[in-house]
This record gives sequence, structure tokens and C-alpha cells, in this order.
Amino acid sequence: MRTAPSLAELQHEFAANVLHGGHAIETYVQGNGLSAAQRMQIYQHIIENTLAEALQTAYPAVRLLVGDDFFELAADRYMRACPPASGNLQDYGGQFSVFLQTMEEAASLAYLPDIARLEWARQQSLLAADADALEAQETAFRLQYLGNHPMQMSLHPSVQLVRSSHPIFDIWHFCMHPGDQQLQLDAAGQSVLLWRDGEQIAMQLMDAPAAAFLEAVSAGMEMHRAFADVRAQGHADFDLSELLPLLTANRLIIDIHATGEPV
Amino acid sequence: MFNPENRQPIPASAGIGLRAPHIRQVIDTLPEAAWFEVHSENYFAPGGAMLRQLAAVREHYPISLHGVGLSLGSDDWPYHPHLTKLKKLIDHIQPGLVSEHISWGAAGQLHLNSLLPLPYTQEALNVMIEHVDTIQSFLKRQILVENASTYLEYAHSTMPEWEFVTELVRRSGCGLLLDINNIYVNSVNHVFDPMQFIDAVDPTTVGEMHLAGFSRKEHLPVPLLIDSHDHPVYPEVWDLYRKTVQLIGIKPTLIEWDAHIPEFSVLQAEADKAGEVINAHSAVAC
Repeated sequence: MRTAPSLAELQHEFAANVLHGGHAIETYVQGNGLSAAQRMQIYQHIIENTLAEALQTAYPAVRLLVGDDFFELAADRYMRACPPASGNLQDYGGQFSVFLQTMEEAASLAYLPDIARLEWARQQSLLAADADALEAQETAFRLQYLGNHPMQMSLHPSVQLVRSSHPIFDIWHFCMHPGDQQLQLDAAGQSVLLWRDGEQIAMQLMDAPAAAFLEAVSAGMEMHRAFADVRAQGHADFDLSELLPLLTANRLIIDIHATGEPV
Repeated sequence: MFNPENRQPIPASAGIGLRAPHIRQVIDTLPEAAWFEVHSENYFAPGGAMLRQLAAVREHYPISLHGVGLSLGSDDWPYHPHLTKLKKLIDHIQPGLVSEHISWGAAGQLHLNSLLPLPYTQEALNVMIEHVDTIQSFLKRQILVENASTYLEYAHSTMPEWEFVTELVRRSGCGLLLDINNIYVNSVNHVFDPMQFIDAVDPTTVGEMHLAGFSRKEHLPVPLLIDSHDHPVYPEVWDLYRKTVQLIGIKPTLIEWDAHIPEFSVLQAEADKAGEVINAHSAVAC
């Protein structure tokens, strides 16, 4: 019989048992008709189920793609590799796409980590802060009034962009809204813009130059630099004639402001 | 944001645990319900539809916020970020009650997201009291703490659960959320008379009661109940609730159902049963 542990020792040994099968905690647990290990197993199962359900909620398409047994295996390993640090289950699972890249059994599903990235982006979009959008008139006015000033554009907090070398938009739709469509897993890569639309998440395919522009602008690059970069990358005819109406119509621009003197 | 002066108290009647499958129906049809309780963490996001929906419910019903992630009994988990989000939600929703659990879930930087059993020791009691005190000061309000269901006991516990619970409440000045189902579950799992627990409670400290359904672990050499919240309230728990109301008096009482969630009408029927117990006691008291 070991001496009584401190509260911190007990809690760390409990966690070690749940995550890694450490047996030290069992010394302090009364069996009362069961073994201490059996009593700990009850908690192991409760925790495993809770965390697996959180991943199922966040990653429905990944689950459909790999099946329940594989998903359960992935969830179990993920729990031990990347245990939660937050007491809010909505925060759990942010590293799942990176983890899937390391899973040998998933190596043949090269698109799987990107589907996971898309699904995590959907969850982040759903939970993002609210913000008032600029009215279309105001957007047009600022773009015209600020003329050649360097400008930064801020997008709604729910906006997410996921770029992939796989057809992630088609794969996700094939899983979640199965119909007659044919799926070509080796089709060209797709970039997806996501945002919150009421209680739903809207997803829109972006062509490569628009995606590159939005990615740069979202990272804080001034609009004229992002524009020039995209054009320099082989898209000499890139303009904003399709992108700006899409952003304004969906109320995704929340600010445009000058950052300096005219260039 | 609601005016704090409009904080609606939770009435001493039967309320319903409101979960995602029913929230749209509640907003659209405004069904008969005295009050609702939600899990705080589900509404920690800074924006989005869920928070708007909760605010819409709050316009028509008193709301109680019930937390599951603050890990009051952890010795070394930095809980302030979690507490800050809770405060923001409280400021936004102005709930009638705020509650948490007598349990732990985090160790260091890990959070197992479960309501885990504490040893009933002076050290654990002191940690709980210190955290409850800090949290009540930060929130500038009293919180309720709920007795948890447990599936093991520690060899180094030095007091029974009810002594731990009542000492915590007495010394920290928090209120008690008396979970009748959890008392029954623990009385079976750890072989004690549930009335020992109820008798130890100071009625004036009880701010709320919980009722829920449990499940039985089969094929074990000893009886073991799990607080699964996936069944109607069992007759044994209704009996214990009646006895508790006779001893402690009428308190806000919640029907909890968290897994295999049925139609809303089933929850209403369970709340009506709790209401009958409350009404019967009122009639006797008059």
C-alpha cells in the first residue's frame, strides 16, 4: 500500500491511466466487489465515448469516407496523441487533419486530411464571432474614394478558405448529399470559400487566382499587393469583377480602409 | 444584451434541460415550460446561430446555465480562460442560476472532459472551497454546485460524500444543486442509505434539484448504475425525490436527458410528473 497521494498526483495518475494505461492509480481505488482496473475501465469508456462523439460531430464526412470501425480507431489514437486541453468539447479536434496525415492506415486516402481541414473550417465558421458587414454601396464608395491608396480589406470572422490539390468540394458533397453524381477522386484540386449564412454554412468553389487573392488579403496583405502578386503568378487577366460582387452580395466584407498615402 | 435588473429568477417548479434537437421547436412554438437549463459550454462561441437561439429562448423563459467544464476540483488546471468565457455568457444571457459540479476533469494542461470523482479529503475540500470562492468573487454572484455520480471510491478518503458536500457548501457560501438521481446512483454503487445523504443537507442551502434516468451495467458481480441521462426517471428516484421534497421543501427541479433524446413532449411529461410532486407538497403545506 502506497501512502496517500496528493490531489495533483492522483489526478495526473488518473489521466495517465485513461490515456496511456498507467496502473499507478489503481493502488488508490477500492475494488468493492470489482477490481480497481474494472472501475477505471468505466471511466476510460466514458471518456473515450465522449471524445469520439465530439470528433464524429466535427468530422461527419471523414467518418463516412473511412467507415465507423476505422473512425473509431482514429479517434482512439487521436485522443492519446492530442488529448484536449480545453473544457469545451467544441475546441477538441483541431489537429485531426494533421494527425490523419501520420496514420499509416490512411496513407492511401491522400485526400482525407484535406477533407478534415474542410470540416474543421466549417465548425470554426459556425462558431465564429458576429460582425456587421459593409453595405454594398459603402464598399463601392470606399473603393472609389480611396482610389490608389494602399488598402486593407477585412472579411467576416466566419469566412474560411481551404485550398487543396484534391477535389475536396466534390468529395464532401458526394459524402454528405449523395445523389447521382459521379465522383472522380483524381480530378483537379479545388479551393473552397466558406462562410456562415444564417444557421447554415455556405460553401463556394473559388478559382485559383481568386483563392490566392483572398488568402493574401485575409493574411493582412494590402489589396494592391495581393492583386499584383496574383497577376505575376501567371494570371495576368485576373480582376475583381466576379469576386467583389460575391463578397458584397453575401455580406462578407466588414471593413476597407487606407493604410497609407496613394501609391 | 439583457439588463441585469431583468435577471429572471428560476421558479420553484419543474424545468427542462434544453438540448440542440429541441431549441428550434421551442423558439417557434413557445411550448409550456416553466424554465430551461442549458450546458454553458455549448454557448461559449463568440457568435453564431446557437448563441442567437439561446438569446431568443431567454426572451420568453428563465434560463439556468449549467457548466460541465470548469473542473472545480482540479489542483493545477488554469481555469481562468474558461471562467472568462462563462462570465461573458452570463453577462449576455443573465441567467437565473449558474451551476457547476463537485468533480474534476483536468490535470495540468490536459482536460478529459468528464466529471471525475474526487477523493473526500481535507486537501480536495480546500481546493474546491478556494476555487468556488474565487469563482463567486469573479462572477459577483453565488453559484450552485452539484453532487456528482461516481463509479469508484478512493481508499484514502477520510469522510463520506455528504460530509464533503455539506462542508463545501457551508464553508464556501455556495448553494447546492442536489441531484437526486446521482444520490440514488451512488447509494447503489457504494452501498449506503440515500436518506443519510438527504438528512445531512441543510435545506436552506439547496437552490435546485436534478432528476434524470440511469442505466445498469450488466454482467458484473456487484450492482453498478451509470448516470447516463438516457432514460425516464426511474420509480426509485421518484420515491427519493418525494421524500426529499418532504424534508427539504420545494425547489426548482430539472428534468435532464442528454442521450437518445426523445420528443420534447416526453420531457414535458416528465416535468409534469415532477410538478405533481411539487403541487402535492404545496397542497399539504397549505
